[in-house]
Amino acid sequence: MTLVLVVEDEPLIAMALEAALQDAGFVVSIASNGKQALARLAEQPLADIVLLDMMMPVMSGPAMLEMMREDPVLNAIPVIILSSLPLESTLARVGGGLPVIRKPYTIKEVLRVMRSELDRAARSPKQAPDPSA
Amino acid sequence: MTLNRIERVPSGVQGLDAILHGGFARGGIHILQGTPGVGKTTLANQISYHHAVGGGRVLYVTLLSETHARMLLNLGTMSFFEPDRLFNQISYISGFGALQSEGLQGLITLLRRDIVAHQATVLVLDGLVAAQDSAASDTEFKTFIQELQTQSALQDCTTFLLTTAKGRRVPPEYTMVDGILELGETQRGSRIERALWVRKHRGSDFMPGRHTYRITDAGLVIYPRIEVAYHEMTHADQAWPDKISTGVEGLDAMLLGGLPEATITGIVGPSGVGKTSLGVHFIGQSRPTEPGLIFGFYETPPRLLQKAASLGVDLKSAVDAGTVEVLWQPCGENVQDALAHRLLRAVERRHVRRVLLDGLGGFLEASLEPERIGRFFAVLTNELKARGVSLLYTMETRDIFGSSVEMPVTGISSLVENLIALRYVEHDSRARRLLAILKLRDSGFDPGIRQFVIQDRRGIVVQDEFTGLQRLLSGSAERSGSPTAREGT
Repeated sequence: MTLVLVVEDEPLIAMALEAALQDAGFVVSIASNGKQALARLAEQPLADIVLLDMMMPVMSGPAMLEMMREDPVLNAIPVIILSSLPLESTLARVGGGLPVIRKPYTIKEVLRVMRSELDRAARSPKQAPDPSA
Repeated sequence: MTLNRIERVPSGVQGLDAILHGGFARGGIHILQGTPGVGKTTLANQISYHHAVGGGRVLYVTLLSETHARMLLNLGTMSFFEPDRLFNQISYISGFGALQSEGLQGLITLLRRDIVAHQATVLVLDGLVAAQDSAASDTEFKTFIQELQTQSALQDCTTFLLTTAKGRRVPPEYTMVDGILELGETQRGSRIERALWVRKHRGSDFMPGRHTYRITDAGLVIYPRIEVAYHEMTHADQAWPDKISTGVEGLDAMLLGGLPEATITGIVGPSGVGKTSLGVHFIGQSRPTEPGLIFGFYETPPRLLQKAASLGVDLKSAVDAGTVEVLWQPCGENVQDALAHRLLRAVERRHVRRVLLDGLGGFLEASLEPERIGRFFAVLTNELKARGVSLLYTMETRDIFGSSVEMPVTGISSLVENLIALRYVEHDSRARRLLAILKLRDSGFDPGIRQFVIQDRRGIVVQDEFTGLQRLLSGSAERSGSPTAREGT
């Protein structure tokens, strides 16, 4: 089963996304900000993919990405940006060139991008160090 | 002793800062209240983007309101929306999760931390009603507002709370906040007019009462009520001893030199009698040192220029040279105060000295509050006169032929400094036009009733006085000395 971590501060959107992803056969974990999401990622099992909002309280999406990049294990997890930021330039700046799904989105669009990213990660996984080494 | 002045955060919303005498108290809490759809979110965002343009940072926290994505989509249609300010200067976050899981205390903790994290100088909390509903008691909610107020002051962060009116007369939070703005709607028949009231504004005076507003592509545009906005004239009034030409030679002679400068002149008469034509002659006298403005409701600029040309008045060249401006107000649902502000702005912009208001009925039709008309025109015309403007307005009377020459509306004595009546009269089985001066301020005039004609390329030509006839203004002439026998019968 694929575990998806949804990081989203708007609870109604998070709940709707959780239900739709569960219907599509995914296991879903929800975090309402970057700090909570990092705590989830510290738990086992590790998420297979992260759907990440940008503007959130406590810790924003870009701040969380920065933390993930400093950790080789977390850096290997595919991340998709979910954002209502309308400017490509802003997204490029804060999203670090990751794939983006613009809000408001359809679940069809989310599933398409997720599957594409999961396939890509399976074909060429990021090199994460062996934790036992 | 010097009094402390409260620093203000300007809203940047046209009209609002004038109403608030500079803006919102900095570091204070301000409630924006109104029913759904009146523009609270638009107003809060407008204030936010204006604040960001000035270098400030905004934290916009939603509780139970539209999603951020939907809000940003809607904002994308507004001209004040600047997407490149998102994230760096303006952040939208949800506080609903914290409220749901940890109650008001969780929400206040989130706000406190994120104000600091975002270095916010403006905080917007959209959907206060959700916080209010989650409170176990009025006291708990009041405590929440008090804590927020303390945080706002401590962090020097001006806070706006957006809420729907819940029907209670004096909600507890009202006793503590620094300002309350209420947005609402007034319905008369099938028309709806949006309006704003300042219910509370600590630290300075403000313009009280109802102020209309519109939601446009530029956000809210607010029109401070003319009677309050100009109750003190912006220019000191002075004596204007000169007379100015009407552009009609024969009429100037009847006026013993022309109209007194910087006064209000009404041209009343039935449809088609020549009111606008007389106004065109008047505006045709505009000069670079005496610019003119036509503020009209009925004839579009091209038609007006065509009419002027047929009267022998080269208005087009005057418009091209910038000596005359034609501002046409499309018929429809106009806002009375918006019209007045537009007129005053146009006068201010070009230092206009001659105005043709064609016709006054356009203002009257725009009014949803007939009881205001008297004071409204008194203040508006005083302001125009103080700016040295000579205003000539047209006003249509109902009957083509008839016995009445009274003003069609009452309570506008400010508008009858000078009054000229144009009438049709039946004489020798022909409809003839006549002209009579009914009133002229501080000046003598020729009281005779004269026939006039409108000639192609020459315009209005005043002819000799009617002689041997009486009851001319009634519409049907009678021979003098034969009061019951009508001419020609």
